[in-house]
Amino acid sequence: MENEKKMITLKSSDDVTFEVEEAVVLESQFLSHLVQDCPAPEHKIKEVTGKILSKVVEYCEKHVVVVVDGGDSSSSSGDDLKKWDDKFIKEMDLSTVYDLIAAANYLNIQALLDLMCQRVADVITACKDHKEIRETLGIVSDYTAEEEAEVLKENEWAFD
Amino acid sequence: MNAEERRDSNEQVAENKTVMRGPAPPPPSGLLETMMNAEERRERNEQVDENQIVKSGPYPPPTSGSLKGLNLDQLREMWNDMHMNENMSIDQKRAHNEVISKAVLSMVLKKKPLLHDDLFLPDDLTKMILEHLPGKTLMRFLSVNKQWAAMIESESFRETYRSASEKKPKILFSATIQEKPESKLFTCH
Repeated sequence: MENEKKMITLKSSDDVTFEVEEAVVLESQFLSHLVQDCPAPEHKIKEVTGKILSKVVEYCEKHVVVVVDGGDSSSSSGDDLKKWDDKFIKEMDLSTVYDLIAAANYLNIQALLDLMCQRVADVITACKDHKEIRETLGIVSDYTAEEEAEVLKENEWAFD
Repeated sequence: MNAEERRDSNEQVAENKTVMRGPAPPPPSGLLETMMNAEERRERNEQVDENQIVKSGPYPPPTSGSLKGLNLDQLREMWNDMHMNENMSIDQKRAHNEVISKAVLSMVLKKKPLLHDDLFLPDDLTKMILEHLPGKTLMRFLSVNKQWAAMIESESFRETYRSASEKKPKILFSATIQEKPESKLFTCH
């Protein structure tokens, strides 16, 4: 059985190659269509860098293994997977998270996209006010002082 | 102004070295004179050498070690005082700025390891992140910037937000409305 596993090579925009099982590729809607439509041994993904693609592959490999091996004891493997996910995102800086959001969106990997978006949402929720959000996410405000005061006043109730 | 006078004012400012963190000290009389002279010369449309006015105070930049015990607010205050201090030359301010801003930066980075200076996410992906936030807190984020406000208040966002929240379990409330006989709507004359 082991020998029958079909391997596929993914190549990043900066020509880093990753050899993965087909099952791993199928985690991505985009890649599964690509593999079905053009059965080449190697697929170049111009929109994703090696650094980010390695994270994508790491995530997909982990999730495939758990789904295949942990079919019986789904609850405990689910917990393990969640722990793994937590560790996976905690090690990343925000710019990697952003790149992964873009990659997961492009490659259409919904679970990864949700995980990453939730990560940023948690960071935003942890901020004490709009100024801290701006600082953390590197956002420049285009409000004048008066406009800002007005918006804050209108939505005072949300800060209770 | 002759060399001796300048030395005089230098000495007077040196005594005031420690006031950098407090409100700007009143300029010593010698310096005041220099400044007034400069003002007069400026009025006469003459070239004023700014350095001559502000270089009179020797302000050695703080060492990074001396800033260690300070918190972020104290550092900011220190930076503000330095910035407002008219007795310091541009070069002195630059030297101070470098040390203080490094201390601030290292503190901010330690507090927020996520901080990054070239973060960019297209609108549609920002929208996806906002959809992961709970409804009430969303209203808090209208004040972040206009782009976020426009996004949160857009009809298309509300639509996707509604459909996303429909996937989650929720409690339904039902209410019956009683007709009020005394209501004016139903009275005929």
